Amino acid sequence: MVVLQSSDGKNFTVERGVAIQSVLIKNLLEDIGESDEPIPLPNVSSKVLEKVIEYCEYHVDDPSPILDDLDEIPKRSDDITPQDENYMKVDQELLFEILLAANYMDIKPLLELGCKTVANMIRNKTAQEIRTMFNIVDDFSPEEREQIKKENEWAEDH
Amino acid sequence: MEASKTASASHVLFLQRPACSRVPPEILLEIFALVAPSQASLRACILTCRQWNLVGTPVLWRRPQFHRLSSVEHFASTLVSFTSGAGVSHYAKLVETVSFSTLPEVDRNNPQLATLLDTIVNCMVVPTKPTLGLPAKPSGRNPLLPPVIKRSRSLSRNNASCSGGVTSCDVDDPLAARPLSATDLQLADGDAATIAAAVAAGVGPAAEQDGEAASERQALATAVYTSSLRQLDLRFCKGVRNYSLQRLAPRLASINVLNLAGGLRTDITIAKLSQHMTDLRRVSLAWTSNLTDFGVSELVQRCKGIEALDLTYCMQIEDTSMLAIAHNLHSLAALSVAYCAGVTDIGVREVATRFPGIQIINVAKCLRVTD
Repeated sequence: MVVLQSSDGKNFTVERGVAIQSVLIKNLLEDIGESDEPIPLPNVSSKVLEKVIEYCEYHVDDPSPILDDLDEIPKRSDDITPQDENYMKVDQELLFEILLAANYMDIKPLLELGCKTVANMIRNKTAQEIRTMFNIVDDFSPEEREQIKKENEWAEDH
Repeated sequence: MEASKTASASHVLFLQRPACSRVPPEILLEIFALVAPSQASLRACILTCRQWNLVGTPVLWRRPQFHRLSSVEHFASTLVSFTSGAGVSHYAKLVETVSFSTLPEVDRNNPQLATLLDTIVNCMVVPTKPTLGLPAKPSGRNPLLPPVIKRSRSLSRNNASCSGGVTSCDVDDPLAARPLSATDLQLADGDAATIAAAVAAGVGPAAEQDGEAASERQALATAVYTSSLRQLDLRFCKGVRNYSLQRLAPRLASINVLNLAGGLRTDITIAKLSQHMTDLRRVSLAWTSNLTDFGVSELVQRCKGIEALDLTYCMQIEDTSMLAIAHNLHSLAALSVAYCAGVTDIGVREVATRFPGIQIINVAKCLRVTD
């Protein structure tokens, strides 16, 4: 068993197989060997860590992903399983927190799932709709915005 | 102590920002790559905020998709408006792929497409100084001419007899590696206009062929172009005429992936293009009914690095092409000669034995090919 400690000091005891889906933790465990000391994760709050562990428990028996060096093949985002889709039904703040945690803890399948989910949410939305959805602050000056609009007008679909 | 306090304070502040604004660029890139097939959505992304604009703009401009001729026009005029004097604009540097394959047929056949392609390519290229060692000095000209002419003869002989000897004399030919050689003489007539443009300041087009070829070589030596363009997809774009394409050839030298399927290309055009596009990796000339063994031989002699070649439905090609392919290319992995009625077992066997590692040979509907 491995003990993980969130940024707000909560301890989570999980099976080794669950924990080592995070490459960060896998490497740490290989470095320090087995120990009962909790592993601190200062960038991950307990709320997010709980959610991340939930994912790792679901996927504990997944075969390790095939290394794809075929960069040419465009990645798709419509191949999310219903189970994963359900898992990702959270508010956008938590969604991005999970994304950041997956990046920090180096859990590639979860990171990919997060990216696909965000990409699917963005599709067919206007800039304003995206800003509202993700609480993005519009930091363009009006002139700047007009300029960028004009320069990329060719990309508009009608 | 003081320092670590401020550091942790700014860390806390950082953590208080919305999670969305803390997403690092590499993850944003990943997301935008997934959004990219929907170009309008990606455009919406780069209009949301500065960070997303910074990360998303290169993704959007890398491979623009066009659904109407007017968006090509918009694209070209945006590039032009950013091109000022010397140097390539930051937008033009981002473009890797130019593809008109998503245009409707009527736009692909519109002659205006050629002008637009011309504009786009010209906004992207940077002329560079010729590499030292190329035949730039006049004294180097004359000794070069005899072998040039000799090779010209040997080529046409091989061509006429359709023998398998095309390569045996060319492999060791030092001229094969030069940017220009015998074919210029052969092309000189059909190409007079191109040459006239290239040598505007030099010998006039009325000069005798030797002089013409030499001065074209000289003109070329002073005009080598680099560009960010890697892929050009002109499949079924009859609007881009062979003449325009030939004229653009020197500016397309950076291309690795070229699709000219169904564009009514000719041997001369292919020969002219392959003189410049020596870095080609993947080429499609499918549905090119005018293409003969001459064009294919020219292509594979200049562009030896071709890994994938699509000659589907090139009805005129015969085994000579297959032999030229087998003897010139060194890393072929995929070849399609489906529906090429002139290809027989001999040609297929030659290619198959030459490239044991070849992954795909498509010979569907080759009537003269048995198992």
